[in-house]
Amino acid sequence: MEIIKNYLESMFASLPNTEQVIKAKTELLCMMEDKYNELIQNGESQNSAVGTVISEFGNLDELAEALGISGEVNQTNEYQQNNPSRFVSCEEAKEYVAARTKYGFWTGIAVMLCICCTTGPILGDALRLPEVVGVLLLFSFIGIAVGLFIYSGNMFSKWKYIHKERCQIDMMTVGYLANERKNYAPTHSVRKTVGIVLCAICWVGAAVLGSTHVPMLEELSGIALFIMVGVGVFLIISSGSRKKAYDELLKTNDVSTISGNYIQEQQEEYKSPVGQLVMELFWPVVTCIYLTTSFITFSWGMTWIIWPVAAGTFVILRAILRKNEE
Amino acid sequence: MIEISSDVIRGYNDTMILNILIEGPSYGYEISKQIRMKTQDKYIIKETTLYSAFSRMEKNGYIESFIAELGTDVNGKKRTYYRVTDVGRRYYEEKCEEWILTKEVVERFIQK
Repeated sequence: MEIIKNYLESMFASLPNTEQVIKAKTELLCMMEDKYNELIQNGESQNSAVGTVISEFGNLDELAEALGISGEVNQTNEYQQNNPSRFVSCEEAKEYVAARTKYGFWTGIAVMLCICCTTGPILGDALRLPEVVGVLLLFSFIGIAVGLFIYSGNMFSKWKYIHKERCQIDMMTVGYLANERKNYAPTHSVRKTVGIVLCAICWVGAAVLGSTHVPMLEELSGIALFIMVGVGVFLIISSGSRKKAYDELLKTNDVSTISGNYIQEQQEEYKSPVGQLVMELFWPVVTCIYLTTSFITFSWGMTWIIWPVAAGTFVILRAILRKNEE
Repeated sequence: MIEISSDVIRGYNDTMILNILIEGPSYGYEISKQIRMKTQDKYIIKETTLYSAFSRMEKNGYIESFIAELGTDVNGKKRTYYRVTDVGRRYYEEKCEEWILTKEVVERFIQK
């Protein structure tokens, strides 16, 4: 029965999302279901029942007039002939997500290496090594980073068509991806938040080390700063990459069609545009407040309180502003 | 084996459906099964053909649809039933006369 449902979904995928079309789809599915059930009751195998039902379905051109969409059907046919959209299977979609996750991971590492490359000279200096060692470390970090950029770029290049060409995915894939994206959302927000916090409080590590009055540690304080920023940026890039993979795939279908309908509902997370804006600006604003107050008062030992308070406020705001999910 | 050309039969899909509905209200699959049985498997109406006929005839006022919940069904599945209207009955009678005439005319040119 799943095959029949998917067949019908794919037939209707590019039709406009109107009441008439939905009614027709429901009615047709009901007829196909009845036929399928009776064939199975008469002892036919599942495969042959599916085959019979699909072969006796007919074609959509015939329905166009009944649905009041002759114009659209012709337009869609013409448009699709001129701009053929590439069909992306569920397997391909899974591979794409895996590839993009891997791409994000290695790019993240590479960016982190670039940010941390200055740790080489600082370390060399602190350990009283010849200057050349520090410089060599710096260039080897950059070298590895460039290597990683090229490697990940090459690996990912075969998926570029998903961004450039018009693509289409079926309802089963849409369902699968939407579910995966939902499951991944908490992990994504934790990683992103940790990443942002690390970048924002990167001064803390340096400040702590700087105030130890141990000469060696004081000299190393710069490293702490770069490493914290590096790790923060890595977390932001790598977790964002996987989420973008889901978003990219989910927006391939045209939103005005039946297959696009699903994503449209999913996209708006908050009740109003204002709420959306507030939530988007929340962390940057908190970061600004934190840095400003910290630099003005210079009481770094106290100002960190802002973070747990902000986190609490964020949870409450989110609960208030978010759309109710059934 | 020769199959019925959909172009030829198109004008009479409505007649067949109305004929079945005159015997009592019915729903999509049941109607297609009746057509199949009455024609001894010689004509199998496609789902899309059937649905467009319903939608067209409803628009013209020949039939009416209503939703019935199936008591016997465990899922309590809802089904759209159709019943014929008086306009539909008159239309059916006209179509029958038209067919008798058409058949008579075409018949004269058929070599047996």
